[in-house]
Amino acid sequence: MAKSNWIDISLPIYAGMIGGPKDPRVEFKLLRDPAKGDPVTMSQVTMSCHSGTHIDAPLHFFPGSAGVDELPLDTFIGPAQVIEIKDPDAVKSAELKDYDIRPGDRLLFKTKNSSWVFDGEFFPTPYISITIEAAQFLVGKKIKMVGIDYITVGGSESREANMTVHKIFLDAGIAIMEEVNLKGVKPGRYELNAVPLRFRKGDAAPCRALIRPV
Amino acid sequence: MVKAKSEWIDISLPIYEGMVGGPNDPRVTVRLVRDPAKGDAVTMSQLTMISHTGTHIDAPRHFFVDGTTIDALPLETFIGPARVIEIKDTDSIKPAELEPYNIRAGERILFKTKNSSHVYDSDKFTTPYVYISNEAAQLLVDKKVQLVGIDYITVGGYATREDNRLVHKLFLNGGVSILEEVNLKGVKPGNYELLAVPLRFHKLDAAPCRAIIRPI
Repeated sequence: MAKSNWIDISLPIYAGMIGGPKDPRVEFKLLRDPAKGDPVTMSQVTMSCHSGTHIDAPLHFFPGSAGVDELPLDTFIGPAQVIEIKDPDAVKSAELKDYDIRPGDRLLFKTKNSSWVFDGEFFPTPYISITIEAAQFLVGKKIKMVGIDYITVGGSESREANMTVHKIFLDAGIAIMEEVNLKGVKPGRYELNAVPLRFRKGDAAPCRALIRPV
Repeated sequence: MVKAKSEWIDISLPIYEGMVGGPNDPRVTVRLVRDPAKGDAVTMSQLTMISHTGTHIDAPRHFFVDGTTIDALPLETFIGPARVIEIKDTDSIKPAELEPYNIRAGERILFKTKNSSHVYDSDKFTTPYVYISNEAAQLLVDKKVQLVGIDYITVGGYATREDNRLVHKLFLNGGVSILEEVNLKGVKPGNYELLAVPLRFHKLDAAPCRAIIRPI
């Protein structure tokens, strides 16, 4: 079999894995255990739907709006661009202006976060995220999806800015993918596969996010 | 912008509290950990589910204590061409019915049985259901298929636990990945592209996936 050229940019999901400081942690429980005489191994997982690599649905911020199971499948499958952000503070429009960003693009921002944030127990601050003005710039570009290497897309300016950035994207129909690990990934054009679990009326759902060079 | 209609067909089950599961397994529960109705800024829910919830992939670890875990299975197993075969037998999948299909090494085979027409109408675990017979499992292992999918909770039968386990063990020991609980209602037999990569559950026995197909 040919060597796979798929790159796994998802976080492994395990008990106690990194999460938001106020969010419940992932728990694993062994329900059936051969060491105790059971014929099979079977586990139970308790997780926030924002655990690990995941997609936010509009319902996360807007009561009554679309759940993650109502988002179009095509959003999560297709061409994507990994953009390496040099700015040590935030993703700003000044840096994005140099890139050829097209309508329908899926953008994955590889920031300085990828080099260190996933090693700890909680997501650290400060971190690099998308500013309000950069979010507005991306809405203007009519992109389809935005991904970032942190638990949240916004909040560089303030806590309120985090809410605002989410709302700007979700209100414009731009899907949000959080907690991708882009360590070791070269900037450039890729094919993306990141369809979330079909969690009915979920405000978010975990996904297995993969990319391969095109 | 003109948007083409998607060709992707969702063959996954929706995941929700109380959805169908095995007769001895705990059901899915959903807890609202942040609720705007209680003054929270966002909605956030927490899922408690077994590793075999909804549409999912079984790893060898499910049956073999030293077997490969779900996060260590090759990604390309779950991405690529697949064939939907419609099974007419209302009892089980048997070698005689598979013979004319000329099944080849490396294929991903999804069996659309009578199950798809009714089993998911209820959250109750339903028997009888159409399953893969021991003999057909052995035939598929001999053919060296890459993945086998079925439209109910388990690839094996319900009459005895031993037979059910044997079918799983034949596949997993034979390097065949198992995709369970796909819904093929309304899906035409034929050739498709499959995407069904499981969640990256660290060292677990199985994981749910979003399984989708499109005609090729």
